[in-house]
Amino acid sequence: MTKIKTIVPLLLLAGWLPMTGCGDSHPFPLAQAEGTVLCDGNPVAFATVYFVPVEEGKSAIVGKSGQATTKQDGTFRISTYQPGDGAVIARHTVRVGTSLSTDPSCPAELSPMKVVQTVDVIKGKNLFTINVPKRNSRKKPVIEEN
Amino acid sequence: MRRIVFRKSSGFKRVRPRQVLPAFTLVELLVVIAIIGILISLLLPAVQAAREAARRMQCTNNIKQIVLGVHNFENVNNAMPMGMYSAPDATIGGSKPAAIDEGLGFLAMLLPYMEQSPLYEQAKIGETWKNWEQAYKNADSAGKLAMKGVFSQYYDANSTFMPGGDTVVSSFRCPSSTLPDRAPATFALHGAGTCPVEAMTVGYATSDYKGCGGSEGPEMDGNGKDNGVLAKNAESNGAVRFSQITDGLSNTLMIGESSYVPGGNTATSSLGCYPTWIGGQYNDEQIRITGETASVINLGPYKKTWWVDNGAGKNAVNNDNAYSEHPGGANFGLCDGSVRFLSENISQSTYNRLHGRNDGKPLGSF
Repeated sequence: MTKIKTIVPLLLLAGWLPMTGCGDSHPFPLAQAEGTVLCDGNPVAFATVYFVPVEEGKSAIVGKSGQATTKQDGTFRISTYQPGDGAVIARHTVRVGTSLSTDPSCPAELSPMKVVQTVDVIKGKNLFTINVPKRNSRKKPVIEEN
Repeated sequence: MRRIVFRKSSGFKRVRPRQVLPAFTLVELLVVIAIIGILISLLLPAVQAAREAARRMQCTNNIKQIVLGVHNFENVNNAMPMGMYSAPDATIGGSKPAAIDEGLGFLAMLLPYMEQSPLYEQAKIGETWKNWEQAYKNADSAGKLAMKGVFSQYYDANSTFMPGGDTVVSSFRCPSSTLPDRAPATFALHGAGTCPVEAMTVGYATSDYKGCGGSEGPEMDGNGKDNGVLAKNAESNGAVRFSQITDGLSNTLMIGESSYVPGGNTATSSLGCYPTWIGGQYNDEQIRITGETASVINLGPYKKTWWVDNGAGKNAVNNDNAYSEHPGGANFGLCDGSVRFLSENISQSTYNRLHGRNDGKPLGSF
């Protein structure tokens, strides 16, 4: 009987070992980040929102950028590694890219090359209001070349 | 069980019994099986990881060969190859030439420097470019604007791909890549449609490596896209010399892994084509990647679809990305000949500045 008692933990060990190393592959903790993109108080629909973690210390390994696109009412929810998983907990610069909307109420100045705002994503739930500037009406819209 | 045998020893009075056990007990057998089970369970996941590690190492070697090919090219020509051998003018009288995004790729030009001269001769790479360049020079402004790219011209005349363009060059393929060997006859991107001139690209052999064509964005303080080393002709103003890489060869990216079918950054812009070593057909994304807001390594969270549908249309969130099937990042060749695995968690300021050759900005440790 004593030998059987030694086998039981061995068998448990054998079952557990193959599962080691199958944890999270990215070491960066995430938090839910949601919000609304507004231009002059009007929602900016169908635009791309980028949350880019800021490099603050010496290390350049800061976490992946988060992305989202806004709905009709201007709301968005950031995803980073998997759809719907949130943003890396860090300071981010926010950029708003081109919009597919043709709503004329506020022709917004949109470019993924411009920082609109700097936000801190903290542990827990984050709710942001992102205000994008109105486009100068005399200026012709710039068509970004990719 | 054998009987216990008593032996008499000649000189001693005492007799010692000895027990002989010729077989394992059931319990011992089970212990042995359990130990073997543990050892195998240790080994199996390790074998899978080792396979991926081996593929990544082969990919590293491929990039090293391409970077060495560029150095050989530079020795002979005193300049690096252009990323894309396309129209040299960004605009003529405010209009974009038709051939700005179409032309032979740097991988095709490197063939003679990578022991692939027969393929270079068969596909008539050098000759085709010289003829095209001469015709472009001779044309007037209207002719330059209307002149078609190398592949469009060839396809219009022959209704097929350039001979040799279907040859798979193993150094241009990452073993982990899931791209097919050649651009398939019919293909559609997820919900997006097809290549601008789909038929034109069919049959060309794919490649998993692209040139690093500069960067753009708030990290760069207004430096344009033309500050990379392997950009298209109009972006880089011709071939880049090593002396123009003022950030230093070890601080500038040259080759990146990018084994996916790229799409445009809005639903209305040009759609994606398969990356091919011979060049880009109406699509500079086929041969070069850049560093900018939308170009995170290994694509964003929606990588399997490329596009996010919000009801109004398909909004692509990625542009000019590096992408690999290796978990956690992608391989890059730097101008000094080293090959590094960059994490997808690298900050955009450092990644974008690595793409730039003359930004003069500091890099974080990566």
